[in-house]
Amino acid sequence: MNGYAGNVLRVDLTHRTHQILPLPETLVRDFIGGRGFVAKLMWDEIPRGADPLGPENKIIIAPGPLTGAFLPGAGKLEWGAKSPATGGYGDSNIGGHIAPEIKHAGFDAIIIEGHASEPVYLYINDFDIKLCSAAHLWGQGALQCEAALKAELGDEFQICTIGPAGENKVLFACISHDFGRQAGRTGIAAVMGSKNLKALAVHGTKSIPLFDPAATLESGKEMFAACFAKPGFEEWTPQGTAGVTNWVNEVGAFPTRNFTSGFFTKYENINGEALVSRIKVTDKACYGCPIPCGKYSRVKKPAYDIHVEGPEYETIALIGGNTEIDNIEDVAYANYIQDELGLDSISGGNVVGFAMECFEKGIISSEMLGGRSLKFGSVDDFVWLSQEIAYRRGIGNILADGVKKASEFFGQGSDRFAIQVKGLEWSGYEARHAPAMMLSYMTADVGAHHNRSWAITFDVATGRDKLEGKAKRVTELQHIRPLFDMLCLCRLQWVELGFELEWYPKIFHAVTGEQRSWEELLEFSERVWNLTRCYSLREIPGFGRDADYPPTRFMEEPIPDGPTAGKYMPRAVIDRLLDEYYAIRGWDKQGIPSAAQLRKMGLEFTEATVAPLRV
Amino acid sequence: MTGVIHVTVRGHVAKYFPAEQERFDFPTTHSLTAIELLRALNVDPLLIMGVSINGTKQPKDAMINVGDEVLFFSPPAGG
Ligand code: SF4
Repeated sequence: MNGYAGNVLRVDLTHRTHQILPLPETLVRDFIGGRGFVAKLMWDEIPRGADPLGPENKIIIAPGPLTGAFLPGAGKLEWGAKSPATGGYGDSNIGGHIAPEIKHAGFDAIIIEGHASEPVYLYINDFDIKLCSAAHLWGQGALQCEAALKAELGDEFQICTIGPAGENKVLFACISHDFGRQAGRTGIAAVMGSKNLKALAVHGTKSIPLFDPAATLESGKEMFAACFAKPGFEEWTPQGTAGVTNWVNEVGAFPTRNFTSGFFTKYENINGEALVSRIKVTDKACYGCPIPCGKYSRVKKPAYDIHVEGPEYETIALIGGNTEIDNIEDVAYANYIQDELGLDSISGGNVVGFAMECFEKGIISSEMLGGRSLKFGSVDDFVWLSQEIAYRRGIGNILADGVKKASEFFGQGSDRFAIQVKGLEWSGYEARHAPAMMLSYMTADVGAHHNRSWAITFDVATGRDKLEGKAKRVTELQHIRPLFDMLCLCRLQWVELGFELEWYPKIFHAVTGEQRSWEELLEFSERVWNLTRCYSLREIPGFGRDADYPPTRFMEEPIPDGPTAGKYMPRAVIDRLLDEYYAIRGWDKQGIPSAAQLRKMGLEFTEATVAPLRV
Repeated sequence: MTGVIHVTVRGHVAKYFPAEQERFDFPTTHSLTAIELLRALNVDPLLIMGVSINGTKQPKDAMINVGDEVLFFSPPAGG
């Protein structure tokens, strides 16, 4: 099969064995790769009702058909597992350089199952595969462990690690790679920790068959040239995603003080300009990327001297505005601490912001903190709490399960301001005056994450009080953006430079020999969207419409200040958005796909599971 | 004086400009601010993250003259 290495690696941690299996043609035909492989293999492989942190959960890792090919941004890797954060479908995407390495080692998917009796790391050097002791690495920080394995194995190995947070099964622990790239969301690092799997080290030297090597090379050259010719190409790179900070504040969508507000008065101290002028050392890119969004920074103070990749926008929003840490040096330091501990800085900043508000409201007392305080704006408090969470000490043990479960524990109405959907903490856009963005968060298959549909400019362009057309646009974006995760391509070339989507079917054909239009490829993405819904329906008792509501704060509390002052999104509006969205999707009022829709999607194999759930 | 302003739009918001164009000329007889130009194009000025005039970043209320090159930036959307 052109574009594919042709093999699936199955690793059994319990019995310390592995098998190299042929890549099923039906998997390629129906699910393309990356996120598509992850979703289908999760459905087939993970037993219904599996404990996310038990040996029966499995980790699925998959590059895509274009991974490693000569085109911009072909270095993304998809990770999946039953999410310990949500109990349902979980995936997360990582950049850096490991995805092509896995493909060149000979694999289109890796399935990791069971539980190792002692800490191990998975060593893959082409078909030389073994589980090695990680006793000397256990307890190390995520970045420290990567450096140690590089020193041990050589720079040619690409490495993913977990930090203490993953080892201690913190539900928002992240997988780290390339000294600052993360698969941050849905807690897959906690699944690694539960399996005693500290790291993955990969080196590959094999070739990948291409349908038309000359056409691939030609298309790739044209795509790079088109990227370089895009207007504003030079202006984008210096700040990367941090460059959006001012704009998000200007439209009143910048998470501030645990999403109390959408406007942070001190934004100029943590924005892209502050990053570039005060701490940035250089730009940093993933494999084959002409527009490096990574910013490598250094902060030197009497107490520490650290290097960190970032902070990128999401970290600035969640660690900066959301906990009111108001200078870029402290945001970068807190970012570094969470990276080393192996905490997702989106959930990490959200959880700390939630805890700070609980402290302010007297729900968390000084006594519960061993006599100390937990105040908005304090980087010392932020760092201290991050460590308590990563090691599950004291109050950190409760917060390590995320804001949804922590609010259930604390009670006293704290669920109103636990800013999450489905158990996944909300990322960097306050959406009380942005209906399409709100719906994007509500219906993202993994929980409150922005990368399935980023629709806030659509709200601004089409009217922020208007609801017409919002559900339709969100649905379209939920097919377009995840398609990049199936092909395992970075989508920033398209989003940031306006790179034409028509390029992708052309090179897809040159690589695989499959002639498909962009619209046809989107149909595969819609299939996967329906499958991930079915997966969560299968795994979470009572899953459906109730899981798609935003936190009460957004439905009842007006924003107090800034450009969106006075705005909130009443439940009636939320209900209208959901009704329209479900109708477009062919789902019933409870958000359950109809039998006809599943047939249309080619997902007949889910019907027996889904049918009893319909009322 | 009759002439044009040369307009370029970077990134995904180009689709909200007339005819979804990335590059076009705006005919005008007089100078106007970037905000006024956007309004004349029926684009909400809030949709634009930044403006560069003749290669230099400027605030949205900066004046644009006939013959100038204007570049409008989309907000970066992150991963
Ligand atoms: S734009 Fe950023 S995330 Fe995308 S490939 Fe380039 S460096 Fe990686």
